Amino acid sequence: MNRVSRRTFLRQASMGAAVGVATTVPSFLRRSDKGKASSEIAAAPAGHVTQEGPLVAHIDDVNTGEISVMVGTRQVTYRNHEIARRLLSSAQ
Amino acid sequence: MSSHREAPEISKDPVADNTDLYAFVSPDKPDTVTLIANFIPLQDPGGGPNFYEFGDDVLYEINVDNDGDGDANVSYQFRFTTEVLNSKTFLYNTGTITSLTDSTWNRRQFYEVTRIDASGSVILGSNLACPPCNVGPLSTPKYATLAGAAVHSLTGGRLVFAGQRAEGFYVDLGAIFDLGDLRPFQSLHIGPRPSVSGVNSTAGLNVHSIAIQVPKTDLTRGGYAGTSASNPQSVIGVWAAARRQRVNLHGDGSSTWVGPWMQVSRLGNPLVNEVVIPMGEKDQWNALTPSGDSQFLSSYQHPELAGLLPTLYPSVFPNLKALNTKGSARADLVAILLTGLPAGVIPGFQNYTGTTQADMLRLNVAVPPSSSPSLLGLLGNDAAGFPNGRRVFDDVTSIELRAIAGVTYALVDTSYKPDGAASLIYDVTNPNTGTPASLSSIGMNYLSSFPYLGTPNDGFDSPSVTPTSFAS
Repeated sequence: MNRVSRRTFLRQASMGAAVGVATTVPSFLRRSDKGKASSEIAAAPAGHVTQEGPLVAHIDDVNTGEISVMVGTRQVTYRNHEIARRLLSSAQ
Repeated sequence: MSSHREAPEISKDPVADNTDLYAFVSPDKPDTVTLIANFIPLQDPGGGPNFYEFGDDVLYEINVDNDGDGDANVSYQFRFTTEVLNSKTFLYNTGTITSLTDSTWNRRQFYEVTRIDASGSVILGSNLACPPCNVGPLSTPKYATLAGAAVHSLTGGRLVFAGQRAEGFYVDLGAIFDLGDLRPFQSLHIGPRPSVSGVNSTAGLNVHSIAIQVPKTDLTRGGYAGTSASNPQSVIGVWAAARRQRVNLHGDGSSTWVGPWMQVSRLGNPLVNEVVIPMGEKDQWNALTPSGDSQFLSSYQHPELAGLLPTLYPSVFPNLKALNTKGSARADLVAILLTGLPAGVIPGFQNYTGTTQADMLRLNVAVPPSSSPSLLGLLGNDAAGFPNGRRVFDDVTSIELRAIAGVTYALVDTSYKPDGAASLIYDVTNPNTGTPASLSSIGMNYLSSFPYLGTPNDGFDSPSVTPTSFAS
């Protein structure tokens, strides 16, 4: 058997377990890399995004603007100081 | 307990709490290996009307490493779905359940099994029925037959079962946690009392088991048939895990889970997170894969319990006390629990997976089942038992107590003479003279075929008590 990397294995594992989630995930959330620039996020065609189930945004660190966005079994982490600041402000 | 409620966080989440893990060459089908992971600890059999069940929101895993790096090469995943036929009744069953399709069984579970390896994922079976819990003689009168129907054949000669079983792990919990006051040796304890027989705290209790039996070639590197015990490809490392999604949103009478699957429970070798890993690191240990276990090395090299034994039993362990005083790292425990035993330590045996320190249940699949198994496994000259994998009846508490007390240190330092008492310790029943069959005297009854763990204790008759007479 070929050696399988941890990253590859986990990706396969989550695919095996997360039935149907991929079809419900907004397109920009399909990026798996951390630290994507906020301009890329803003460029997503928001009007065409569909969503099933809740979407949770967790501010990991307001100082760095790091936010984890979760939907289904997916998670994307990116940095956006402005959104982090506005989310925090809206909760106060 | 082996791993029942062993860490602060998972003790609050019994549905995901992995309590025991077994891996052994199937005695009645020696070209296969049986893997069993138990969850939901310490079930009172009468605990209705909402009887015990797997979590629909939990991802259960049995993982296998076959190249020694502490990461999974093969994983079996199990997802459950609960179905309620009539939500207008409080009853688990509205009459006698005689088959898995009876409409009288109101709350039932089904599951899907997926096998994952480097080539991708394959669903081995779906919509597989669990058996009901063993409610009692009126509700589930022919329980063994009913549960037998929940043993499902899968492709490739595999078998699977998921459902309630009798607890197979025996231990004197009250004695262990009352300052290690082992009843048969109380007279030697620092708080001496007359010695008495041990008590099996888990007698009469149930668990939920996920059991799968697969060809050896399903597990080994390169699909090796496991014919030579000296071949490194014959050795696999096994651990089980449970995952929950990262966020739980509580609503009005419902809840939703969101986010990636996070590991919340893990189990390789029995009792490790229980008595080797310190309180402040237990939750972290549960969240990691075995490949990260080198960070816990000092806890294996210098187990707290080894230091306690000479204090609790002052005149019994002078050699262990001297070993502790020298500060010697326990290379024997590191080998048994983290790397496996290399060839040459025990003649004709090895279950070494390399230098990566990873807490896994290591099984050399080329070692055939024993025709006269010892409850002490390898310590009883029976290489088919723990710590070469683990069978359902292995006395892992006594084995590990003896190992920590110094019995196995002589394997790595021939000048060390273990204390005489170290090879006599036990908690419930004497494994030197006991057999798997004799364990029925402490309430442990096993099956001779898959899924090997016994028929669960029924709710009406357990615990066994004499009903109070009505006053006339």
